[in-house]
Amino acid sequence: MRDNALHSTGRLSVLNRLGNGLRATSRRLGPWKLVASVVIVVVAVVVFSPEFFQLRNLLNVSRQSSIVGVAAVGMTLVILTGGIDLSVGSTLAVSAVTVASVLNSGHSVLLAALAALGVGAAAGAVNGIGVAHLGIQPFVMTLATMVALRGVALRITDGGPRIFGSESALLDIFGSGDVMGLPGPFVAFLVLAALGWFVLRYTAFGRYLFAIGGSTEAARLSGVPIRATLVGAYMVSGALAGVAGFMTAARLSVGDPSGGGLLELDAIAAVVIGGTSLAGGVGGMIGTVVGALLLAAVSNVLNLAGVSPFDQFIVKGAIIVAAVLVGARAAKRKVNSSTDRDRAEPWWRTDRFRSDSQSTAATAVQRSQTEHSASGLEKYPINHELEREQL
Amino acid sequence: MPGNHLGTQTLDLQSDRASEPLLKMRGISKLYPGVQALRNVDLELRQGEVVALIGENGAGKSTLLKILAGATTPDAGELHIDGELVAFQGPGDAEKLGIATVYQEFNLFQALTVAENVLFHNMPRRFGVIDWARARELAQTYMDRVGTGIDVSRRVAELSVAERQMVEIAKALARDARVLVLDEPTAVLGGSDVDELFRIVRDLRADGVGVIFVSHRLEEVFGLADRFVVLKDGELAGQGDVGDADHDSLVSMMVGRELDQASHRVRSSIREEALLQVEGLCRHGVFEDISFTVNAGEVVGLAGLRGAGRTEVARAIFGADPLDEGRILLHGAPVRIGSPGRAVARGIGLVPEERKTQGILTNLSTPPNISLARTAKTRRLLAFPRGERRIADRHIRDLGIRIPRVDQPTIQLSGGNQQKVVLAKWLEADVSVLILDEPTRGIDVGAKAEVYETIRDLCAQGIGVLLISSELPEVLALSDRILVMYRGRITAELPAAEASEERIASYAVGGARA
Repeated sequence: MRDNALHSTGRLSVLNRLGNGLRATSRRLGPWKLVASVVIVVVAVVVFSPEFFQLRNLLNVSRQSSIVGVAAVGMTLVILTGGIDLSVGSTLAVSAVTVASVLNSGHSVLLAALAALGVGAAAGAVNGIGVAHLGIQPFVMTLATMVALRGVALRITDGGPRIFGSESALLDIFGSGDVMGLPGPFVAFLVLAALGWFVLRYTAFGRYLFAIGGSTEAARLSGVPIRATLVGAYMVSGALAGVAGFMTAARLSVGDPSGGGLLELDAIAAVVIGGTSLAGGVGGMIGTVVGALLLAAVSNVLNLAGVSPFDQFIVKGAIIVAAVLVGARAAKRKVNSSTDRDRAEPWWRTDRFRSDSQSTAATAVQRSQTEHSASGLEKYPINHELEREQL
Repeated sequence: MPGNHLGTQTLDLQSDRASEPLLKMRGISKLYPGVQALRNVDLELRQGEVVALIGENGAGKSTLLKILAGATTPDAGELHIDGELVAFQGPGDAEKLGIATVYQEFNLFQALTVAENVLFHNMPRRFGVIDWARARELAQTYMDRVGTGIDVSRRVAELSVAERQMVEIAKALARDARVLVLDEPTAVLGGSDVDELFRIVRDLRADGVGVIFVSHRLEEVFGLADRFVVLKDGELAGQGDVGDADHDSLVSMMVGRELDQASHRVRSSIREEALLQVEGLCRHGVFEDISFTVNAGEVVGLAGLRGAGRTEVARAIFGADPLDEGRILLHGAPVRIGSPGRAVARGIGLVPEERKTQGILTNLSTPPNISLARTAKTRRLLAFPRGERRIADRHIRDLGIRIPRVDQPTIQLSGGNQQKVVLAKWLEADVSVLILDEPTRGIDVGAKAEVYETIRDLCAQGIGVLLISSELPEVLALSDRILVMYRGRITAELPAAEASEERIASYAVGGARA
């Protein structure tokens, strides 16, 4: 019996040790691990595509990061509550075609912008009501609106993209223009992220988000308004997806109903890479900004290095896994706190259905991410054109 | 089946190395960042022996159990099983060597049946697929061994806490456990369930299983254990035969000081001012016709067995659960509560039964935890970390919350300190009525005394307290009046002067008079 035990220990430990070693390294690095990963990436880039560091290209990367980044800011709030918002990509499309429709019927750009914001917030409100009042799981609720809103976008334009010819300072700033030497969309992203950071750190709403993500029941029994907070979080996420839609439309002067494909997954990836736990209650906005920049930088470098778009997906997937391995295993620690605080178990060895449901959802996302990547290829050329246009 | 379960190996061992203890830990040390959790601790366990492991929270008991379970590795020290040096790489190794640990939070699959849980690691197979008939039969024999009439095809989610604990023990038996580690097994049980558990443990002892048993209740140590091991601040503070020790000597080993044994004090703070009145509260099938009053500065004890409906009444008053009938008056005026948010807004606080999942936010540090209810109550839009920090510093000082770094998540605090954080949250929210549901469950003796002190301070400030507790000495020591619930009804109201453990207990089990 005993020999047996020691034997199987030897067998198990190879992969385990690798994982534990990585995690131990990441623990030692502590708050520097994001910085460390960025340094590693930078070194790799210097070797493979030095032109990355030309100012023009860096500005281009910052512009690339901004649409995903804006969506990721809202996504951070939702994920902190332990939820998820899969509908941001479709919301972006609805917002973009709304902008085109409003402009084409002769209204002002300001009205179009407000409509984008309103449409997004309304979509978020639907998600929030479904999650908070009807008790539908966030994954399921936002999956449903993701599908339905794509239909709404297609219906508004009858399927095709809607081109508009309006020009204004507002469109320029949020589209392809610059503000103080920086790309306008990037400035918008930074401003919104700063607002998000302030909300998380200095407002009661921010506290409630963390509280709900930590334990909804404990938060409720402390008097936290659970439903209002959840609806608020999803509305912010929707509204920011609406802003991202306005930015997309402004940049291309077109409202494309198939725009924003895979946006939800990029936004989730940015949040997760930034160290926010999909189980909720742990994380923050600064990580999300770094995550969004990192994703954009990786795409850019791979493009510059001439890596095929197919391989790019594979690399991106690998980077997400690496980032999560290196990043805080906060969720795991939360789950297993009572039995092994200092030695995080991989999720597949956790003996609890209930407490583990969140992390299972997390892997489901990662899994669906890979699947989606394969099936979403036809949408990729759009992003690609953007990149070339900017270069 | 029973007598045979140890297998031939153990029988050989008995003859070969009768002198070797089943389990021997030597010089175990463990350093966590900033804390020496264990220093040079020894522990021995022989076959058919029950060892009580006692000590205040934070004394290192949990760390020792984790090392024993293979969930963490010691920095120094040796672990011998049957005289052989072993090293665990993970929980699986400990289990394979016959060490089974039953934690306070059970490791059961809620959605699976009893049979599946009991036999999870060795389901009987036939032609490569699970032999369900045999599985049920086998699981039943293990369940019979812990002596319950639980149907093994029921789902664990449907079972009571006591029944789940029995499933855990049966699971350990199914894996040929020779060392059974029980982490505060009685903390979650009511009176008769404790007796049942003790019977099971004695049966296992008679079969040669070694049991390590963690408890905060000293009467259980005397009632069950053969030997005791006391830890204090990570070091061995004493060990010996239970027969040679008494209550006071164990307590002084644990805390290193004499305790103010919770004695009743006549309170002068009670004012004839009804803070909380409830009239005819009813939730169909759960409780009925609940009426009582809590005055300013008064502690009203709510005693009764687990399942009598005490927690449900508390949650309904607090708006956490629905209410079918009845009315609630605050300061003499009828109010509709309906949600915890409104209860908090009206100055009611609840210290819930499940501290870790309902009382405290383990992902956040102490300051936001303490300020949370106040933030929710005042409906302010902004919450400044620096202000929260200042508020927290004051409560940390006043309540004696022991905390290495104020910004660390509260999951790293001991149970007693977590509970003080929850109390501080309600102090900060300026409550006038505070409902305490098992406020000292799973808390060590020292922290308990401090929680009692805090409750008395609250009353001195004119707060009315409704105290739910399964520990009769606690109810008696703190309450001015005691209500006893039995099957969803209040069956007695006793002034503190007329109450005794015997009288309360007899009403709690449905008796008419003591």
